[in-house]
Amino acid sequence: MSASALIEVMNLRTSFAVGGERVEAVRGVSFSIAPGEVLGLIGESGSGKTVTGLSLLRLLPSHASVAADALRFRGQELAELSDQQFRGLQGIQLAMIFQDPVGSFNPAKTVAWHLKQAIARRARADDENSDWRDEAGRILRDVGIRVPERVLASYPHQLSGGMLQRALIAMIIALRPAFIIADEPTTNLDNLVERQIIDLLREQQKKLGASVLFVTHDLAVAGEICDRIAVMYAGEIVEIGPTRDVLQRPRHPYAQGLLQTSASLERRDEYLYELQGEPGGRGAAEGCGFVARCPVAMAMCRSKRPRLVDVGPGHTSRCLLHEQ
Amino acid sequence: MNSDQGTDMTADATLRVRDLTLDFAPAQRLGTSRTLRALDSVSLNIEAGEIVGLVGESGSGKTTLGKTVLGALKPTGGQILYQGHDLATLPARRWGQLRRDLQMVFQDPLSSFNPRFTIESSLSLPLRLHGICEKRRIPDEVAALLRRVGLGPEHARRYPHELSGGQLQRVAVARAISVKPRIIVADEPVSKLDVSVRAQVLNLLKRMNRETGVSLVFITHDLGVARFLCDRIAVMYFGRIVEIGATEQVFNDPRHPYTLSLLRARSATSGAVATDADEIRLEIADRAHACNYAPRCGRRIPACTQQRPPLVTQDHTHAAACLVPIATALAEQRQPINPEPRTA
Repeated sequence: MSASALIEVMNLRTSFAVGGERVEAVRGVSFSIAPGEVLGLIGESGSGKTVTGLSLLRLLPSHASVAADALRFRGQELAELSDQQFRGLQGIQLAMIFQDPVGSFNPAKTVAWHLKQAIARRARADDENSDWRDEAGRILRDVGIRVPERVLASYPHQLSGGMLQRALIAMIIALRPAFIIADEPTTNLDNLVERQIIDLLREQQKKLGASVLFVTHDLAVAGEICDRIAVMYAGEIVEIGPTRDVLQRPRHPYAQGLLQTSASLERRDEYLYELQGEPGGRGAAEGCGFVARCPVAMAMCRSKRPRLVDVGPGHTSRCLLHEQ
Repeated sequence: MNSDQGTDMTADATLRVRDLTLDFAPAQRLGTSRTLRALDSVSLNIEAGEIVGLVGESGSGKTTLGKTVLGALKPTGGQILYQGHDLATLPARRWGQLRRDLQMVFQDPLSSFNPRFTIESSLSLPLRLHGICEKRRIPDEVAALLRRVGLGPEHARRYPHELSGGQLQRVAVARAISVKPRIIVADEPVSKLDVSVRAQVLNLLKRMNRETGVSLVFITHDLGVARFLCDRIAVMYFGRIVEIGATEQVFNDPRHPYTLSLLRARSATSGAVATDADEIRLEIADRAHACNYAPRCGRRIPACTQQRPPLVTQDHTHAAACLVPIATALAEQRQPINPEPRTA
């Protein structure tokens, strides 16, 4: 955890009260993101990747409880901020792109209204005045919309999913946040549109110099856009490292399994490599969360919880095999 | 297969879709009664034992085509010829045995099971209705089916919500194969499943095809998956098949510009794909006589807005609907994926 990190998360634990019980969705997650860096958070349903993002932005419902040893933004401990102070950061410092852009818009207002709000919020923060119409048009052209007038006058339901995701990215650009959480921003889109939005996100992220936590289940997409990748399973980061290292030399059996499947798909094997079992089901308090599906599980994996161990420069993996 | 005419009424296992057209009439708005052409003169053969992929984006008509083939939607025109019947016009009461031959696996397994039936009841119903086995043998048959899709007999007593998505999709496959069908239409059967579970269900579908010889119509937006599973691929765009051919032909030698865009979208070639904004607002006098893809197409010539390109056979198994199809040499130059010599 270097002092220069924009975001520092140490031992994040998020749990939900479900029917009198506490269910741990995130079990001690730590990472840091440098300014301008894109960290991919990869996992399947129930791995805790989305909850991790929502925990950082205080977007969880009241039955969730979030605890962490540290949750810092530019060195400032976020837990110390009141809700009102935190809201001052939301949008202009910390922003989020959701999977479904429709939910991020007010259905009764035009795109112009939304962009005006975003631009005004930024202007208030910077104490400057600008003609929002000029700026809105400029930003929309930046996100690949050639006739901004038509889109500005549109209501959210009048736009396709891809156009709406562009409009949302335009809002984010207007807000110029330092940190963006993008939660499966291309999952609901068609192939061609997905490609366009990935290219757009990559280009605009570079331009803004923002740090991004990119949440996805798609290894290929993560490989294109992320500087580093963290693989989550059952509420824990099981492997984290530079994108190239994680994708080419994965060390954790879960990451290895996922990559073996995509490799067998690329090779067009007669049958694909299969990881047995299914995700879901919290790991026991002791032991490894992946033990039930692990092809190389040992007896002690059931009783001893593995630590993250260095397996390369900036590359750690949580498996007892590394500890031997 | 070479001759389209004259063999239509033979009682072989080939299903022949001919000029299938389907119009949806959306709720009439302020006096305008526009219909939406979801399928536009689609022709396609499904041979015994083959896996045909229907590939396209949302709204391309791939699901509509699958449902129409099974009789779940009534086409506006065209024929679906199978075993001497035209399924397009065959009244529901006369389907009889044909229902058993044609089965479906849906995208969302949870909504395709009755939540109040145990897995055993859901699996035994088709066995009973189609008289697949003696009544007293049904529990054994259910257990055997579960075993074939990799589940234990204990799953029989469970309810759908007690199973995970992947397990339930296995049950859906078991239900489809239980009546020994000739053709299974699988509509995005893995897109709702977790990444690590998809391989299991894809392998299962392939194994069932190899073991039983059942034909599969596999509907997907995922080209990588289609390449793994399918013998042939039909690329759909706005209700039409724009390209069809053997899987490796379509991947290595795409002729339609839309197919090429889809293939390029998979690889990380930045800027390779036209953006929404690049879509030009074309003045098209008569949309019925223009190429649907013209507004997004980089190879457009004036004729593209004046006539609808027919699906022209490039060689005997590969066809594309384009007035200016991509030349072979050009495609090779761009996509040197497969070093094997082409046979054509």
